[in-house]
Amino acid sequence: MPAGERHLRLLLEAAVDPHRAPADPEAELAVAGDALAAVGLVDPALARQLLAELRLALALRRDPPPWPLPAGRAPAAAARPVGGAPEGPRAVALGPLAVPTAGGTLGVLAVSVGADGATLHAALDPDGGTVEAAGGRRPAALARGPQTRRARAGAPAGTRAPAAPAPPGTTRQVTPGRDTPGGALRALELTGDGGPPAWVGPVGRAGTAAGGWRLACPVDGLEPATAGVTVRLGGRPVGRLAAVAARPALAGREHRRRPAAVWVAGALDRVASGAGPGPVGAGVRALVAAGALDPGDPLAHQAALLDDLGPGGDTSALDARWRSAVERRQAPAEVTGAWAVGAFVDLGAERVRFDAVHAGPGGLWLLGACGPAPVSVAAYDDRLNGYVLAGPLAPVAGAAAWRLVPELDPAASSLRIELTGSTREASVEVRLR
Amino acid sequence: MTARWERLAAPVEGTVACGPNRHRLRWQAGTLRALDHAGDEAIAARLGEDEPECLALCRRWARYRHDPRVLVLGPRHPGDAVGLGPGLLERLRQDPAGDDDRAALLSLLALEPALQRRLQQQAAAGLAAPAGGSVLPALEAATVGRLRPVLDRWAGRRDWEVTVGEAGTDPARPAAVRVGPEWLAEVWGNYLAVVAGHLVLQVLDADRGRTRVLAVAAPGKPPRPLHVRGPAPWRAVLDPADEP
Repeated sequence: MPAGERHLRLLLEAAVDPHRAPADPEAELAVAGDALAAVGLVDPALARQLLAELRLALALRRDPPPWPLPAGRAPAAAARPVGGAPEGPRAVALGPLAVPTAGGTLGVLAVSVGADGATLHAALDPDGGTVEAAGGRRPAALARGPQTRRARAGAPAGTRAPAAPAPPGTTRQVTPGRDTPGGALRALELTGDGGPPAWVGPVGRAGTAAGGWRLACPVDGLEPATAGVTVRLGGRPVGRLAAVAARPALAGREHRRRPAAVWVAGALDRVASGAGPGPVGAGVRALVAAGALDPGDPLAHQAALLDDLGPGGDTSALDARWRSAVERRQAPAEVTGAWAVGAFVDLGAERVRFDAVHAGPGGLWLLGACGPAPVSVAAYDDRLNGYVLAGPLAPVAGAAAWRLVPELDPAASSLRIELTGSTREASVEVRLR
Repeated sequence: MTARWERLAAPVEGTVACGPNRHRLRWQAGTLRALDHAGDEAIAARLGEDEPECLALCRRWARYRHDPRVLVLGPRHPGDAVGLGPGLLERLRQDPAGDDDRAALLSLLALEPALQRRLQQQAAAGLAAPAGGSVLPALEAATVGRLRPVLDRWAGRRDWEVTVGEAGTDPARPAAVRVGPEWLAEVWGNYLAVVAGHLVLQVLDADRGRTRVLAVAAPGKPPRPLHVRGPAPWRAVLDPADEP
């Protein structure tokens, strides 16, 4: 602990000295604090406190200072979803089905069915922000005589959601659909093969990001052994989703990597994909100074290269994993599609279920469920592209969604989802084609 | 028993706006006093009457004199101007996350520089008190942050290696300088860092007006004792026998 605090305080002193201050002292301290907190060398609360003190010290030395203190540069807290932990793997009936309604487009992305219940993953495009939310307001009513559109066959399959109407990173409470007359989701009826009709239960929370609103809600009464799910809207069939069998449950393995190396690799991913603040070199220097990272580690070399890389710079010296991400930032490509996963991972203290992957212009959405313990989620494809958690997490009781950025590489043919819990880690392979 | 840094530190006075007037504050032997208020005013304030600004500052001084944030926020050298401009004060009042604690601390940083320096000395002295033989990171960083500008002015800007421990230098590494944990309170706080071209690493004695320090004449040179006479501006005493 003292080594980490010592480094952060010395960094703060340098930041206040105009002859020694780095170009962006706040970012330096934030990244270093994030790195040291990630490996347990400094208390995250102390790192945040020192960052606040640096901002105040700099504010006292310039007028007008940035006040109130800007948010968003504090060391990132681990994502902590809510809801109960999943109990086992589920079969997945894969969409998407796009249903135009009076209030916007409703996308049925996937339905997962297991012994512990069923969940509908859906997307809502409000078409101008008419999705009803919060404070007793109601979901948008559906138009009479719904129109449906099947997803394209093959991969990448599916529909492409229109541009996001809501600001990214927000989460709002959506009124429960089932008990709401005229609610969009109330009219949705799901029927398993040979089983009785089932209806969508209460909607908990909806996350908004590029690609519209994301919802996950329980489905009451859907048979666990169903081979397919027929979707009806207002009594009219709008499509059938073929179910994919669940995979066997997967047990995680013990961590093999040093925490510092895990942090640097994650930070490199975030910087390369444009999802996180730079410079990552500040974190590497902090870890080296605190004795948590070998200065000769190749990751440290990559961090230095990435820090020095300007817009349009030469990426040839970068490792392929980060070179690809930088190049994709420079020339992004849009891909849409959906794939069933049906995986259940037991990490000991944490259990995670992935039902489906949905790709769109806003990135990748991993649809599933997890418990309250924080789990780190990232993904890599077979072209060595990295995808990192960007949020928002859109959890409801028994369901969650993770958004990863950047957009899926069109040439990728498989995706490996990596999960890191407190003591164990695991990876899940998804064939894209 | 008075601490050595307090014996070295001369009394300091400053003025502050107190209602429609400017009143005097005096720091001496570790205590800040309001010279223009009678003692019964402090009692009245405790009983609910409006507290004059002078008395409020004295009360805050006693509260924050050992707060490490004083060292983080306060000026590192005379050219390091710390100001509570009207823009900052207004934003501080409007900040919904702001609290009385921060506002009270910042009011002390609006005092005149000499008083601020005494406040930093008190905070540093509190941190330098023996803590199991280790130097607290807050004190070490504060010392490094104040010694480096001193070194720049003393021997030119270079990549100084400043550490806190047993005072000394390393002939093999001229840019390496070690000072004791008391350096900030005893040396820097009393404007004693450079005397007659010598860098002062440590105060050895401070009795009966005689002050002996450990100082180096140039980077990489071995430290040697030096007699000095103060208060600031300090001067070297070439023949201590001449001193009274």
